[in-house]
Amino acid sequence: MKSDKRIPLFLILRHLRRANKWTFALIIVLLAVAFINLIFINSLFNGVIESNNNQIVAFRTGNIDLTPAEGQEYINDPERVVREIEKVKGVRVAAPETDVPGSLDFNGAKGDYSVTAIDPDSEKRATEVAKKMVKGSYLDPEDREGIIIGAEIAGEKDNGAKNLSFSGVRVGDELTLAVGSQKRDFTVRGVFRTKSNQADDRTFITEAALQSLAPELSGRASNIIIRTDNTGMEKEMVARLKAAGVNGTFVTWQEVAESLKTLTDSFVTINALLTIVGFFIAAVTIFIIIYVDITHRRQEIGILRAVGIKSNLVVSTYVLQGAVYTFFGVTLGTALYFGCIYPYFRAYPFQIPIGDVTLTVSPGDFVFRALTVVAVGVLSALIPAIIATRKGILDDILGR
Amino acid sequence: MPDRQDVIVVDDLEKTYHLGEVEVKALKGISLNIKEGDFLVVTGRNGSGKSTLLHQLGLLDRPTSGKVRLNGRDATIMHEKERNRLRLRELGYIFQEFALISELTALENVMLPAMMLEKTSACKQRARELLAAVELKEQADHLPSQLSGGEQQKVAIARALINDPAVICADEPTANLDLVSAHEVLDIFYMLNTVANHTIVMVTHEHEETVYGNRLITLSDGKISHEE
Repeated sequence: MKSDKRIPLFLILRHLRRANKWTFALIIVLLAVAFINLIFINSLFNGVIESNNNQIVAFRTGNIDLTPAEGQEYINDPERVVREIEKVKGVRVAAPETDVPGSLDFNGAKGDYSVTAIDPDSEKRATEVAKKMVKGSYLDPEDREGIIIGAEIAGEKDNGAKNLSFSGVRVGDELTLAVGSQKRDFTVRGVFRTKSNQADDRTFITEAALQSLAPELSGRASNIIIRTDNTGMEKEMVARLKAAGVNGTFVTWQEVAESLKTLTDSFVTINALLTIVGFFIAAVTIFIIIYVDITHRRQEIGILRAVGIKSNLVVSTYVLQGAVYTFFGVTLGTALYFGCIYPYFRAYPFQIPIGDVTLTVSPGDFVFRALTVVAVGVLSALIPAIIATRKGILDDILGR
Repeated sequence: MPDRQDVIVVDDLEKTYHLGEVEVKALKGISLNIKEGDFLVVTGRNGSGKSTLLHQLGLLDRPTSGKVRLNGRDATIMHEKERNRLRLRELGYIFQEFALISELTALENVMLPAMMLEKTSACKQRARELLAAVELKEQADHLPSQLSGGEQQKVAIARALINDPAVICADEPTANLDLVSAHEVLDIFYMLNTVANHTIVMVTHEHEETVYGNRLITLSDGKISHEE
């Protein structure tokens, strides 16, 4: 290579090879921490939003919730509709649910809680409520006298809704369900806690129980929960279901999430604010680290200029160094994040009242933050390098 | 001796520093001509302006007034890019404190200025020859921290010579060296001047070193007080 453009690379490679290893390591670790700080907060809030979305899919609507066609109160012959739905490619399972218009009574305390009749077998595959039993067990399909209730109704300790609950229902207790003039005692088989406020205020009985309690509702469903093989292709699945002749109103989980947007909007706003603060802190941290490092190398800048190295090459050398430092910082940060932090919080999620929150990284956010860190590194090197090359050579060499 | 050309012409050179509100006149109207093949020794007491004058000749600083002509061209009014080009091609500067890049080996320090002009292989070859000439062939791959003061100064000399400059400026090159190393360095300068006909300007405050030059000026209070 004859061009003098090779000089910055020549100097940087030797700097990386021979600079004080501890100083270099410290700089890289600090840059990595600044980068992790930048993605951690974002990932956490993305995790909250994702957790909320997952809860909708897992505990409430599935991927798609099929509700009765406009003007109809129920989906008739749900078994036939389920068979039609399950024939469609990409559908994993469909589970009909029937809302029971009734009220519950426990030791004189009454509440108009949502009571839903389900087929426990298909419901187990369509939702994840069965995995969230904290007391007792899930329903058996043939159980005509059992009921499972959400923690908010049972009155679990610290559920934050004691005034709306039965304040301490236990497995084996009896609840009275009144549907019209019919009344029936149900034995509590279990209590579930999903941490989703979409699910923990629900109660479930079996379709078999509903049949004996309100035979007029037999063969009708309020909605059918549809789980698909892949999340994120709901619009395409709706089109397929319609094409297969499935009638009704299709509501995707995204549409439900949109209707709950006030919650996620708040997190988006907080995330944006903290991201701005995080960017500022990271930028200042990176700037200080690199600025101080390059300012301490002013004598070297002066020597390079004194022996005739062009100022633009001197500046390029330190800009390249800033880019290399931040590249290593981002690389180490990425390794630490995905090697330690991310798996740790996947295994041990944050236990917060609205659900278990893990870290969620969006590739776009990640790349943007990584590029921002490198850009700040370049700028942090550019400024002191330009200042140094505009000063007198002797000022640089003598540190004046 | 054939008529020798002026390499550097200094005309009424003044340099004033401002230390806070105090004005210090370091050079007060210096004029001199340095001809091809000269070995000019500049001496004087501390604060007499020796190093300030050398900084002006080496184009490391600009004067307050006056002119420095290098091969007929006024360097004082040149753009920094052009002064940089002259520092690279026409001048070799040797600092009292060696001024080597600590992360480069002796070989790399020497070849660095040449990399602005030549292919790496050619730079390396010439740098090896120069290191051999100053008897540092075996230390080519040593870092400055692995070299003695005398060896570092020899590396600095080799670096100053790499682009075959018209003038070598040496600012108290033996000040940080022991007696043996100092003599080795001065012998190199002597050989460069007498054998290779390099023009050398050397600042020193050691009277016994003045014998190495073929011209001597003594500065006192920013003026030439004696010339021979």
